Amino acid sequence: MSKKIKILLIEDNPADVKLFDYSLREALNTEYDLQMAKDLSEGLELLQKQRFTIIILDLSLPDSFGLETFTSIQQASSDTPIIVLTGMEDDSVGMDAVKFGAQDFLIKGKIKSKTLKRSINYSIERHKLLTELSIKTRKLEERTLELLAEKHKLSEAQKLAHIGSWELEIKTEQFMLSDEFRNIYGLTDDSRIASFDSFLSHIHNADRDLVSDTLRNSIKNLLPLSLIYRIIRPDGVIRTLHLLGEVQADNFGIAMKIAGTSQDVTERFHEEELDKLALAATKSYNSVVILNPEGKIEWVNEGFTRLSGYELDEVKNTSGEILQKGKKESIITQGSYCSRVVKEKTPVSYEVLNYDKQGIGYWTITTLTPVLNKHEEVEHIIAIDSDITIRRQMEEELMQANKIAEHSLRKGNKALTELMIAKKQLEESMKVKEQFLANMSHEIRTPMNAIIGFTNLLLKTPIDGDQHQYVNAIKTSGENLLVIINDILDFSKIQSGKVTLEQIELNFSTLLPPIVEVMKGKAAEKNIRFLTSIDERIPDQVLGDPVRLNQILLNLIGNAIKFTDHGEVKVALELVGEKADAVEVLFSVTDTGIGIESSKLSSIFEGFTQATNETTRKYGGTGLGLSIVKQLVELQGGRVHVKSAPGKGSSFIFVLEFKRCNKKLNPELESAHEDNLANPLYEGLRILLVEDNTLNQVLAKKVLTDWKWNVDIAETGVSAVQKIRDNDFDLVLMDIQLPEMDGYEATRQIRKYTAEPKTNIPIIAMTAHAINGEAEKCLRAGMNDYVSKPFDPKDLYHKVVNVLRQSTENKTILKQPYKMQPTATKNTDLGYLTELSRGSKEFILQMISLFLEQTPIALASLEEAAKNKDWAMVGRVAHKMKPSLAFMGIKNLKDLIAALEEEAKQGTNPDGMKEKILTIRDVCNKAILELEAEKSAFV
Amino acid sequence: MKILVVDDDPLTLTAISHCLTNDDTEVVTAGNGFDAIKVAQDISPDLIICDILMPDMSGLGLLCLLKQFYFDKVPVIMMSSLDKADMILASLGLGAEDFFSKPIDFGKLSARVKNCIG
Repeated sequence: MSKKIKILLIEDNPADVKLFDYSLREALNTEYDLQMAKDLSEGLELLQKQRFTIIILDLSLPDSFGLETFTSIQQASSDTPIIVLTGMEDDSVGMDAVKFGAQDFLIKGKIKSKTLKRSINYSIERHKLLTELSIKTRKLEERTLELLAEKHKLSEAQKLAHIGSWELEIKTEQFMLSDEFRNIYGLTDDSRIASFDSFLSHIHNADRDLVSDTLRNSIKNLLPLSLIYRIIRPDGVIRTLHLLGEVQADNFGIAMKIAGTSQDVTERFHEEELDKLALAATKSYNSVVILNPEGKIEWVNEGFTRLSGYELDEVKNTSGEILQKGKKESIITQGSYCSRVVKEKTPVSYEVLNYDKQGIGYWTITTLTPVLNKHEEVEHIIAIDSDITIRRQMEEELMQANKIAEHSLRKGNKALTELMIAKKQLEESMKVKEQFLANMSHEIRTPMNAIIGFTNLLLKTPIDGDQHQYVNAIKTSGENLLVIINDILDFSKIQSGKVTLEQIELNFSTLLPPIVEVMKGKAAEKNIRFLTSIDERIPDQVLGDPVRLNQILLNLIGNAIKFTDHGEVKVALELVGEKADAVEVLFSVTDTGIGIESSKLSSIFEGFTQATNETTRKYGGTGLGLSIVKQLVELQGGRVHVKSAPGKGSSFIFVLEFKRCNKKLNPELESAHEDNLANPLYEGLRILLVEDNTLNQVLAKKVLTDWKWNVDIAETGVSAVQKIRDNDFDLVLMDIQLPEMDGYEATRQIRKYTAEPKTNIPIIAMTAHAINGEAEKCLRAGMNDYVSKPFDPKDLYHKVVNVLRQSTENKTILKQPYKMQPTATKNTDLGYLTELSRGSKEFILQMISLFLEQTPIALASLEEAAKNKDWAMVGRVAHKMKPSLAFMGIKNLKDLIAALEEEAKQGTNPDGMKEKILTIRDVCNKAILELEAEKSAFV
Repeated sequence: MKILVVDDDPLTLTAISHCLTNDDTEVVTAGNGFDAIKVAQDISPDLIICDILMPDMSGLGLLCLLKQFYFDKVPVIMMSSLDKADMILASLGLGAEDFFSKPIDFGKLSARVKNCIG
């Protein structure tokens, strides 16, 4: 561009033109280029062809006038500055023109070159400036529009993403929120600025503190901020928000502003929770359904689909009504279960009938479990269904089966009841039979006792030869009768299986002599020789049942003598077998009697049969003897053989096995002597005889007084107890069969309800029952021993002595038979225990209590062991009892227990052990009573 | 100080327990060998007093177990009413610290116990 200013002058007056030209020259020198036009159209023409730096325009032209002129030129050259020229009177037009955009106006005639120069330069400059300004302005406007557009886009974006932005001015605590923020918050007021407090007020109670604290912390420590919290919108809806923010600090590190975004993440949050649950549930085989707290299905697993046939989208957002096939009741019930779960926050289970997509019914047991969030609110409900269709089917079938079973059971029960009634009846009849047996035994033996007893007494009185003969006859008859009666009773017993064998010491050297004595006499009467032979290799003492062996031998020998008129009867014992722990002995009874026909050899062993019909007439007897012999031998494991021929005599043989017995002889038995009968040591003994039968009373009294004993009589159990209470006796002879109160009961009463020393008074039972078990019954009732009726005086004597000797108080009795124990002595002595206690009453009580607990158990096991003959156990229990006894100061049992222990080790003297056990039991029971009294005194 | 007493007789246990319990000694009891081992593992006693004659597991058996497997550093005192020389020798030979014969002399009991634990 040339430096030269290109000027266009539009002026019609030539004089003015010349003047102007002259002024211009002066003003600008040669730095201009002047073009002239004399009217508007010429000017416009030139303007079309060239660009000018400035236009100087006369407003009054021949083809235009005033402002019109100006505007035309302006239009034609919008970016060229224009100076207007006016006449002196037209200056207001000039001003108008400037208003319209002219740069300046000059009044013709008053134009000086200085003015012109200035005006031109000014106009050009001004124009330049204005142009620049308008460009700038336009640019600015464009920018503003852009910005607005961006802002709008951002707002739209926020809306879409549900992210709002916010700013907190720290000093003023003023909050600035974007639209979307307000949207999220549900704010309806137009105010854009909220205070920090009002911001907080929208936050859920539980989260408020967290948000406030975190914000303050961020501000203080210039930390970025990320929070998830809940708000409660003004409409009450709770939403979960995620807030992000960063702190802006000044140069001094002090926070000025904190700003960031806030996003509503409620759905996503919910979704995430749902996803976690869903993941777990997918793996489950069972049908798992996730419900929202309102009971609407949000998600189901494969198991559900498998079970129900329905896919998720078929049931989503429903309450699962489709499974109920529209049954209103069950739909309502299920709904109420859901409400209950939400309300009580506990699981609920119930059984329900569902229908699958095919319409087939299936039973499930449905469990609804609430899922709580960290604020203990129910977020979801999980429903797990287990198919119990099969189970229910089975239940049905089971019920059916049960019904059938019950029916059969009832029938069976009926049959069983009938059976039981029959059994009971049988048992009762058996009891009756037993009772009868026992009674018979007693009834028969009692008068027998009298007959034989008195007969014996009679024999001791001075009688002449004839009388002697008669009395002997009576005696023999009596004895025979007794034998027969015993046979019958025995037979009945054996028949009813009521016989048990003993395994006690059997001493051959004491067994046989009495038999021999008896039988010798009988044989002598018939002039028959009676021989015995005992193999010396047979051990003296073995274990067996002497009574039964006696019976067998007596029977066989008796028979032999009976059926032999002349010749001999031989009894032989031979050792035929030896084992480590046993021996086998062969018994034979051989006679030279009438013999037995071979055809009858077997039948003679049957009950009630004799060899011939004549036998009964001629020889008498019941015919039971051999039958009993056979049974008894077989009971002991042997067999009876008979060798016989008519006229050639008979030989009865049997073999029995006996276990070896190593015990020494009972020293007391050894010292059994006739001489003791008059032993002065025992004179003056006070005996209470309890017997209701007058004859027996007289008999017994005689025997006892012969021994220089004092006898008092009681006729019933009641009076016996009374007499014992009122008087002092050393021993009681107690018949069992008594009216009102029997011997057992009387004994029990004495043991239980009398005081020392009477409660321990020795009691010997007199029993007519030879039934086994009788002995035990006596012992159990508290008796010390027993004799059978009719009693053998010697036997009675020995037993009395024994019992007295073993009774703990007896030492004084034997020395001073009349004196009673001066003071009642205690069995227990707590002195030792008191010493140990060092003043602690609790200790003493504890020890007493332990003793009271333990001792009855120990006693019971002691007696049980003795009953079962488990001597090893007896020894152990006895040993174990020692400490307890020692602690309680029960000194009087010390030696006894030690002795029992020792005997138990050896396993011999079962009777002795049994007696010791009885004594131990008595003393311990007394100790227990004493200690119980002590204990209650303490408490 | 913790003492474990093993005996199948409750009266003996009570008496020994009473005799030895004081301000700085605690007595724990067991009625048989099996319980004794369990209790010992729980409380780690400083001394064990043990009866020989017991059902299920004898005192000597228990002594062996204790010495070989569990508590060989803990002193064990055996007691028995079987006061025979070979019983005493057996106990001491198996590692017992001392031997009391029964009935126990309670007067001397606490003194001897003190000896053992020191």
